[in-house]
Amino acid sequence: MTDLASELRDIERKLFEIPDEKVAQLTMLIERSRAVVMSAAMANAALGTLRPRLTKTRPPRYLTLQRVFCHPFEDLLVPSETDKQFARIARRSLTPVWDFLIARLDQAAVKELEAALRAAPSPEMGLHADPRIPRLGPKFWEISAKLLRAELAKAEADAAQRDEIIHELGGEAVLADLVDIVAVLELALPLQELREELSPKPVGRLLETQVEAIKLAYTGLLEAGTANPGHLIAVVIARLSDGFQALPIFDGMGEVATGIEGMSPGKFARAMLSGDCKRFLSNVSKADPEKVSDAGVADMVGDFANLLSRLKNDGMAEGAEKEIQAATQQLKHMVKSNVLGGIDGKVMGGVSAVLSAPPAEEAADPEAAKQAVFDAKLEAENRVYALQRVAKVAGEIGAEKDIAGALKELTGQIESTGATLINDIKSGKLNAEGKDAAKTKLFAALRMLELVAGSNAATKLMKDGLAAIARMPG
Amino acid sequence: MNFPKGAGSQFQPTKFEERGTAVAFTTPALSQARVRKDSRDQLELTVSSFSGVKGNYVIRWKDVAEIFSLSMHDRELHEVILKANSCLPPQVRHAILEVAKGGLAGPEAQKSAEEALAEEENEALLTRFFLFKGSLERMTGGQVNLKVADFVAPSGRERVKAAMTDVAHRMHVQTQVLYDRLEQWGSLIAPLGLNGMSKECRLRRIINQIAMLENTMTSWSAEDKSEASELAVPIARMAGYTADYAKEIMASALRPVEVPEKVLFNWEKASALIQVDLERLWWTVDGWEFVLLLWADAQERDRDSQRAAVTEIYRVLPIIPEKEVANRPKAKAMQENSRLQVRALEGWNSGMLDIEMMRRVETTKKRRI
Repeated sequence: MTDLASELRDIERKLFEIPDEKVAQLTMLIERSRAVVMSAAMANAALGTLRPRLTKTRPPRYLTLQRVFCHPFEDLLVPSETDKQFARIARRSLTPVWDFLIARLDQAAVKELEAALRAAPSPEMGLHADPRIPRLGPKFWEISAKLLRAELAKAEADAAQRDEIIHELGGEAVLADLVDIVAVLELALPLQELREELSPKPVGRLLETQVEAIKLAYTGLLEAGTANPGHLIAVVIARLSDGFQALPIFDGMGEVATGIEGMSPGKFARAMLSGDCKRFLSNVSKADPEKVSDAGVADMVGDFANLLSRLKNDGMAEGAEKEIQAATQQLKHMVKSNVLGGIDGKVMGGVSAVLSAPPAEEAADPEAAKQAVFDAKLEAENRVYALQRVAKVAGEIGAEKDIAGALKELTGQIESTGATLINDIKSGKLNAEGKDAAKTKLFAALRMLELVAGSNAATKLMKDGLAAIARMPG
Repeated sequence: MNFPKGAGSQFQPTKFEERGTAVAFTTPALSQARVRKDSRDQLELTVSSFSGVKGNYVIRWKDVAEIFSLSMHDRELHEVILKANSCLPPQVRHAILEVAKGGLAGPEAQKSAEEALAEEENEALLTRFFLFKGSLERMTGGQVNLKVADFVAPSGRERVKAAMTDVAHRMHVQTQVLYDRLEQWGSLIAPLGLNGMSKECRLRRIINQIAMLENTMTSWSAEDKSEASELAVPIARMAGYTADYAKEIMASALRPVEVPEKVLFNWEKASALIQVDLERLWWTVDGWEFVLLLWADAQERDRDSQRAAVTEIYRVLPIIPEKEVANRPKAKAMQENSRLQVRALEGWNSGMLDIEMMRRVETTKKRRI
């Protein structure tokens, strides 16, 4: 399989040319092969390549018993490298927990369930949820929850048993994840209904009906005397694009139970959000500038500014000062290197690519020359957009002076280029190229000036430039 | 554009010309505003829900650049439309593409405009070829069977010429006249193309996609739980209604292809009728390209963006004016079901253009139908 990498690159390149049905077949093939001939890493790499298309096409996935088991808590999964986070489950815990469970299940029953899975017809393409899961899952979740709860009870009751379980699972962190897994499995059925209400994921602005459904589901759990209703809060927050929306809902519930001593729903939600924020801040502070584009840095700065204002507004910034400080420093560094670094060359390169382009008929390879101009302009525009997006919130990372300085300098350079161009037009230097070519050059400078300094600054250049072109002969 | 009952409804457009043609401005506050002619044949701009209230603002075209803080692209587009002094959809579209080709809406819009113009030329060429081929085959009773090579190779060209001379002789017209009429006819219906062509031409593509939008919007509305889902229902209905109406006109415009001899013999009268159908078709689909592109872009985004797109589509939804479809069933109900929607404008009144908002509008210029 030495050609796998090149095959993946090929798939990536052709990704949006492949028909939906082929994507579905390919996904099924890779997922089946994962269990038989392909290593998990290879299968994951292949699926990672297909992921952008999977999001759009939503082909039916190869359903395994493990996937059914994980379904209730899949919203809570976080990357393996993350430290144990409140009410979140690390992906690395999935395999040891699954092996731990399978070793304790009735093997004949497992085989029967697997046969039922294979017999169930695949769903149609494009569905948000696999209808086989709610059909096959409930009984399995109930059995698994009971069995795993009994194991946790043993670990709680006896230190030696606890050590044994930790040894079998592969560490304390996996045991901590198992506690969260069991808590969610015990809520699997009410969560399944709520998940339908909170679909598709990620849920944007919460609707009134959704808020009511969340309240109703939580009240239902309390009335049923569920041991760990708090994990419903975790799943709700994990399904939202902006988890802070959930705070007023859970704050409004007062001091009712969550399953954790002394923790109200509001506090549970805060602990969950605080963990998510710290993970985001940690990811930002560890981000490798080499691997982030200018637009990516602008996205990160924007997200950071939003998060910061939410943390401050909800009184949650205290306790995260260290992470905020580290993220601020890293963002400032990345803005300097990835957005401001070489910006003069990049932006002015976009303008001069047009200004210095020879007439198409004189270029050795007109198509390649045209593509080079296009690429230079696009790169320049993307950089300016990144700069402008950072400029809006630059104060949050203390980069306002650097950004303002860069914008001022760029404005000066483009205005100067524009003035030179107008002088060239007036002095007849562009007469041979003609009015259309002069207009193309003027528009290149104009567009960049508009993006950098705004339409008011560009208007004068437009008027002067067009007046000069109008006086050109021909 | 909208037909709310009660005061002000007498000012709603009843004809396409009164509704005007959508202009692809990039200044967010003017996105999809319409250009039309006033009673003195002067251009004017109509902007719907401009300040978030019901009704349309009408502004003299020549004053637009003074009243609004326009993007550079829009300044140029405004000027080009003013010079052309036409508010007909094909001319406005041509102005839009020519200005985008200048690069003032960014390199991607520029590239897309260049490709669109080149594609139109190819479609026109292809349509003319199929019309020549089909017409000559019909008029010679199948005796002449033409291939692309016949139009290129000298022997083939001789065959075409001989066939045309023969037909022209029977029709008592000069061969050149027959040729010119076929050329003009081909150019007229080029935006539609002919049935059976392997490549769909632009207006046909738009009509087919409007028809598809009915299904997409209906499914989206069924699965969405927000208020926007209620807006998707009339959008779907209007899309279906418009697609059906456009298909009828398209069939009418292409029916003469079956009887080329009659058309070419009574050219003045027949071509005028084809021209009327084509004009009505342009008006009918005007504004839908933006709707289709906006929705295509939103489908790749999150649910909130899709809801925002549906709200925006509802605001600019091209509703067929009352008198144009007076005899069609359900026309009145369709128009009355459509009401004005307050647009979600952010910062439009600050007087300054927001680059991010402008870029969002420019996104639709990067794509093509």
